[in-house]
Amino acid sequence: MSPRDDLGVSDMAPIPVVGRGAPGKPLLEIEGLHIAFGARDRWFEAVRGVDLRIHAGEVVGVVGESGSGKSLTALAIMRLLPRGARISSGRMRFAGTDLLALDERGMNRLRGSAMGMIFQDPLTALNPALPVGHQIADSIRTHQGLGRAAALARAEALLDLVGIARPRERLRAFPHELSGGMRQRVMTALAVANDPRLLIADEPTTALDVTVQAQVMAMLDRIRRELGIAVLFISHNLELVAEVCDRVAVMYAGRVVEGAVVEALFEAPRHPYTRQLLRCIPRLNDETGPMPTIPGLPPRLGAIPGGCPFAPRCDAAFARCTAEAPDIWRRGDHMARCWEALR
Amino acid sequence: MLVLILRRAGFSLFSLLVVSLILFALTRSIPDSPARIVLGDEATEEQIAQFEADHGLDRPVLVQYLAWLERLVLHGDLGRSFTTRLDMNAQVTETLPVTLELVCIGFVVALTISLVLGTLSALWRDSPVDYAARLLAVLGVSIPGFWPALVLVLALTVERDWFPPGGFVPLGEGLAEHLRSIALPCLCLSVFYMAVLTRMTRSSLLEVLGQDYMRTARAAGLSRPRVLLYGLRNALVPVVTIAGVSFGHMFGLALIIERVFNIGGMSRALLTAIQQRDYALVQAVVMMFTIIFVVANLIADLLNAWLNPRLAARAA
Repeated sequence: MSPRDDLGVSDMAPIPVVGRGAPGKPLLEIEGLHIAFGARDRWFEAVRGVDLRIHAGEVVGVVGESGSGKSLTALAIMRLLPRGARISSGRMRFAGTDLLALDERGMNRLRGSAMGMIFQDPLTALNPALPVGHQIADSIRTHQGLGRAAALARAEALLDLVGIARPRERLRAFPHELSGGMRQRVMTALAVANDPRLLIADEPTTALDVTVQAQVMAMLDRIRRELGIAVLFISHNLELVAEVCDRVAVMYAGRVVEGAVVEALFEAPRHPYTRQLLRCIPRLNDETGPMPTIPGLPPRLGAIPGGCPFAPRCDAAFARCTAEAPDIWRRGDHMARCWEALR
Repeated sequence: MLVLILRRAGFSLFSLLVVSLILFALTRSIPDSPARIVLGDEATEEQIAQFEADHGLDRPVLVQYLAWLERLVLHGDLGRSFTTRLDMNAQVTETLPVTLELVCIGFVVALTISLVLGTLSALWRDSPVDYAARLLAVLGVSIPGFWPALVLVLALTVERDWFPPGGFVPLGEGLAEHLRSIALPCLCLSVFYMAVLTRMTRSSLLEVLGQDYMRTARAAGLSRPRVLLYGLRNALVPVVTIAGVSFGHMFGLALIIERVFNIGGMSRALLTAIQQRDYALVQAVVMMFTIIFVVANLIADLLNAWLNPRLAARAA
């Protein structure tokens, strides 16, 4: 009996679990995504042309500093951008559907169903006034039209799936009665409640202790394997990305500056920003001394310099970098937006 | 939950005791003896001593208090007025329902309108509806309570004849006439609280709408009305608290409104008692108001504990 049957989902077509570099049509395809912030006639672009592809069953990581536009990109897929932000141009196709052409009702059919999302802070992301079982069951009832009892029974199976002990009792627990790790497990149960094909995890372990972080990551990895879900994993933690992802996109100032299969990115990074990020991963056996950092700050919204936005902080920059926006270097699956790579 | 109810009820009882003690001490600390007020300036010292002995006023204040409390708690007896010799229970049972009706209807009107208006205002932020609601809220809190009453009397009763200018028609004399007689008083009573509660609903819901868990609910694909219902449950906590306080507070404004519309509710009893320095009656009326105030707050507290269990857990 497969885990899917265990959860009472048998009427859905089996989803092939495809490895890295899977051929065929991607599950999610983003092209030239632009997201702008502002009001009336003053708009600042926070995401400036992101291309991203995720195939069924694949895990794609998006890394970058805060403000690089990675979370905005994730929210844009769910069409849940905050007030004041809007998608100014681009194309997004999910399983053959044009996401930008859907109305609110059409989006609601996908949200929480074919696409699930896990948010960063499990304390604030769960409603404090409702038992967790109620919150999961509400989503199940919305999408599967089940009765209350049946939805709660499925919610119990989901809590069991995400590794919560005594799931029947926990259904009645309020978020404040659970630990951070438990809450993130509940959050995961909610996100996969209706068998999504894509799971968007926006820094799912950032708010957790390191030990709990490892447990939650292991749980996420197990579940996505068992259910054959494609994952878009947003993180600033390169180590985590290296452990779980098939492919990685590095974002800087609203653009993907380097994208590759995870081994290629870690063994032969082409963009100086990626190289500097890799240098900043702390290692336990390092000799003492100051932690390496990337000097300078990412450019502010609305003040992104011409040329390559990373040039002012780049140790390999030359004259052309500040003058002209870099072309794309490409070799097979590996791409980088850098003049130095093209030399 | 039961523990919480008992704790809150116990606390309410304790505050009632404290208030009754303060109230009793205040009315007894007035320099003039009630005997002097009742018997007049010409009364001799003997007459006054006799009166005080008859009414137990010569006993220590604490003993008087305990006797009064015992009558009130065990027999529900508010005592008799020193001046009019009238049974105060009769007076309260005659006037309290009138005031209670005005306040209850005014409260329900204020709460209903403010919940609807506040919600629309938050949902359609910066829309004409929102501007109208905000303007109404500012006007409602800034205008003194009696002013709309006077204007409405002038505009709708003196110049047009849509409503009676004053007086109270009991329900027994016909529903339509009864409602017509209380429509304006109830409306005037509700304006201020409508404004306060609208603002509270709006700001509280706006805050909740920006919370992460609202985004989670939308990410789960719940419909807009369902998400709003989630939000209201969280946003109502401060509204319920303010509504509880408002309900008690409305009795104060009701006194003025009853005066303007010439309605024989608690205001007549209280104001007459104050004018005649009938301290026993003042004490009885204020005690009634206190009980209502404390009970309203108790209900608000329990409602909030149900709405947001985290608050309850923190309090317990």
